[in-house]
Amino acid sequence: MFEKHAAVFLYAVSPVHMGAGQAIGVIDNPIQRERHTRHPCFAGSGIKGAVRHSWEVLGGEKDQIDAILGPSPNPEERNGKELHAGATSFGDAQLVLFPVRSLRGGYVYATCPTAIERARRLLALVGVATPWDQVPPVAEGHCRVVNKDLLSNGNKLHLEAFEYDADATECEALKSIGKWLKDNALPKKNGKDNAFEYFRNKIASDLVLLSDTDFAYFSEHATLVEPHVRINDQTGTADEGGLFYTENLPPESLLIAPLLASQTRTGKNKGEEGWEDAFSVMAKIKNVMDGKLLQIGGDATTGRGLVVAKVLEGK
Amino acid sequence: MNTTAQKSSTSHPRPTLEQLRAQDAWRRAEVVKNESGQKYDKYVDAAKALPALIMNSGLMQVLAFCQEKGQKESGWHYGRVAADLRDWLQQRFPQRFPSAEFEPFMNQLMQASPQDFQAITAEAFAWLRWLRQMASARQGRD
Repeated sequence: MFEKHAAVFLYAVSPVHMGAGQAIGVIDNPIQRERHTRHPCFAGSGIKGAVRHSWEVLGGEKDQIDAILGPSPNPEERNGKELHAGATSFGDAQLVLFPVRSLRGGYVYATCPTAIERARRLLALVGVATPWDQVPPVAEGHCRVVNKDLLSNGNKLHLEAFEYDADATECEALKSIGKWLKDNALPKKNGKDNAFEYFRNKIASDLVLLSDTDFAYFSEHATLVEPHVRINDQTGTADEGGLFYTENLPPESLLIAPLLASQTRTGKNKGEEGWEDAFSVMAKIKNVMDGKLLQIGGDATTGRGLVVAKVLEGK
Repeated sequence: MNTTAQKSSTSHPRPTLEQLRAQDAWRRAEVVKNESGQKYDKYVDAAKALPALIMNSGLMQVLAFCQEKGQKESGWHYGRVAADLRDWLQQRFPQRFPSAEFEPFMNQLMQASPQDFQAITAEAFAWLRWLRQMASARQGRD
């Protein structure tokens, strides 16, 4: 039974390749996506693995990995210790904001009613209040914006090759969502540096609400696709038939995942040395993750998978 | 006589859209292979590359790029795969595209609403997903 609940925002600062494995599609190496929305997602197991991998570097104590994240299922790595469950659970991360190229303002943070309402539901379930208004409806081909400077030709928003009619500028409902995300979804400081301030302000001003259909189009067809070749050792040139394409989630994407904690399950009872309650477990995992740079997914050696985590504890 | 059983054994249910895309891609790959012989590998490479090109640059830009490349012998495969794609899209959206020829096809794309354009692009990906597999399967290697 998990007694402590939290939500983790994951903000991509580099392309992220959380791979879906071998797949037969338009891209050779696609990223993970939800079956029903086709929105990009991060599997909870991938997030947990990334935290485990970086545990000590992020300030965690080595001898607590097993108690908090669970011992390795591999008997050799477990050194004869009994297998037991970890005291934390990471859920899958779902998409909240997706960056889309814009004629004005460089890019915008696009979202849609379904993405916002799913984030609100998850936050409510883990006990985090979201004091924003109901998400207003938006029709296909239309949008709502906070910042009217993103518009041209009167009330037109241009994203990639497409033009959208802005139903509302300075939309109050959207403004309150943007302000809340600004205050809660990204760390305020990185040490002494205000490194995230520009992006927090941009989320508040350049948030754009699209219809579920239009948002789904961008989140499926406006990701980062890179060609790769296999180099022939003999010739030093591209190998025949060695061309393949890899998909990445673009930097500046924002996702949210649930994080749950229970008492440790190592077999020790309350009061014994090594036993920790859910409050202590949540404090430890938060200390390791909050405001930290994680590497998730593949292609780490080519700068992929850097995300900044922000943990919000529920009541 | 069991009329239900008789009916099911003789009727031909309508294929799914995925089956139609697969049939079309399989047939076109065969035609190109028979026509191009040893140069067929180039067509397979173009079929494989086209979705990534469209994702990065957009459908109209890629069709224009392929048209330009296809005017030279060295770029015939780009011209061919784009022509095959236009043919399929013309079949799927006959009211939007009276012709699969490059110029009238592009004129129609330029006039499409964002929603229509997105639906056409999504259909292009759905068909190309089959073509890149079927063209490769005809080749006899991945």
